[in-house]
Amino acid sequence: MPPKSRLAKAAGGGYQARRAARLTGGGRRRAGRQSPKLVPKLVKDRMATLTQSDQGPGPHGDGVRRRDFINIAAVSVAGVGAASLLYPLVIQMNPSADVLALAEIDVDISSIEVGQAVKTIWRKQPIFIRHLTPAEVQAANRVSLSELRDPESLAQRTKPGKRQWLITLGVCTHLGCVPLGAAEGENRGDHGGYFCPCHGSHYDTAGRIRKGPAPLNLEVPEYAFLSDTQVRIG
Amino acid sequence: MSFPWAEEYRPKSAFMRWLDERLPLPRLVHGSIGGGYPVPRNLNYFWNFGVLAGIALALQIVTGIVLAMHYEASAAGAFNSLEHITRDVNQGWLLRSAHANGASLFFIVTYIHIFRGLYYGSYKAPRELVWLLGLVIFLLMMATGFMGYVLPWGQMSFWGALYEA
Repeated sequence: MPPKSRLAKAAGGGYQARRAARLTGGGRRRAGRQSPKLVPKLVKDRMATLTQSDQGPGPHGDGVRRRDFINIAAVSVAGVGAASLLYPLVIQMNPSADVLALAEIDVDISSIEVGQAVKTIWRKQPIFIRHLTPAEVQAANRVSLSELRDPESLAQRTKPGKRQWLITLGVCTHLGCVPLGAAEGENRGDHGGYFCPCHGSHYDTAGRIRKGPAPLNLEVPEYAFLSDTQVRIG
Repeated sequence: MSFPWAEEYRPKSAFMRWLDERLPLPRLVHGSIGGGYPVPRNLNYFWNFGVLAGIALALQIVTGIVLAMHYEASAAGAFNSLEHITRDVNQGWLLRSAHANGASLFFIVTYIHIFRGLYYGSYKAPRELVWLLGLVIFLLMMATGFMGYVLPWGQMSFWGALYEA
């Protein structure tokens, strides 16, 4: 009778027969001559490998074993793989290309005449770009800071050498309406700048709050002059 | 259910013993895919394809959820949202490709898995219910794949839907 492992018994008979034989312990196994021989041999082999592997880096540091190196290398490569798998899943949440494209806008200001203002959109918010007349610049500079609710000079709100260019957000700092005064013929309020019709906030020629409920001046976004005719906002 | 030759579940830490007394979930996992289910010696590499199908499913779910966050579900905007995903969203092209080709991968792996079952008789007793559940999964795969193909609202989606249904 050739040696049969427990699993090889599955070759013959139906499933239930095999299961029954297995559960009753299989008289063959207990009385078998081959199985006890196999078991000690396997146990001996296993013990041999166990003692061999015991010669690891013991307390005296016998050196890194080959299996340690392979283990660490394999786990590192797997880690790199996992990281590269996670990378797109995380990075897709970053602003997409169309959003980034709108984050900065270049505006051509060459056609804005003195005393004129234009409205544009930046990051979904209205922007007022006003070309101040010299009179408006002087009016703004004449105001002393102590009488302002939010003290800022015109110089602080404009770029050096470009004091006639007032670029502000067209959003009233009270509750967010779009003030009037940028377009031709719109009411500019008592101080000649902008006027918010919602609750009556008056802004002056430097976009600063002078009268009404708004607490702060019109916000000046980050911008830079690329040339005399181009402004990059954002 | 534990098989007579399987390794018994022995929780090591005190917490696991506490958990095992109250909810046999770790025991269930151990018995079905852990050490409590020793793999028979008479397998070959065709038995890997079931796990690969599981991995393909996980891939589809993860990429699908991410794509769903960028997708717009309207007749007018669906196709544009796909263009947006492919061109604008960071690594969007990769996610979309992974999802579309992942579906093909899922099916190829599943077919090999099915053919293994047919050839080696994996559907026979006591595994009839396993086989039936697998067929249910196969049906769900086909339904889901069909619905997913319609989502881009493009030409392929339209004609595919027209001829498939």
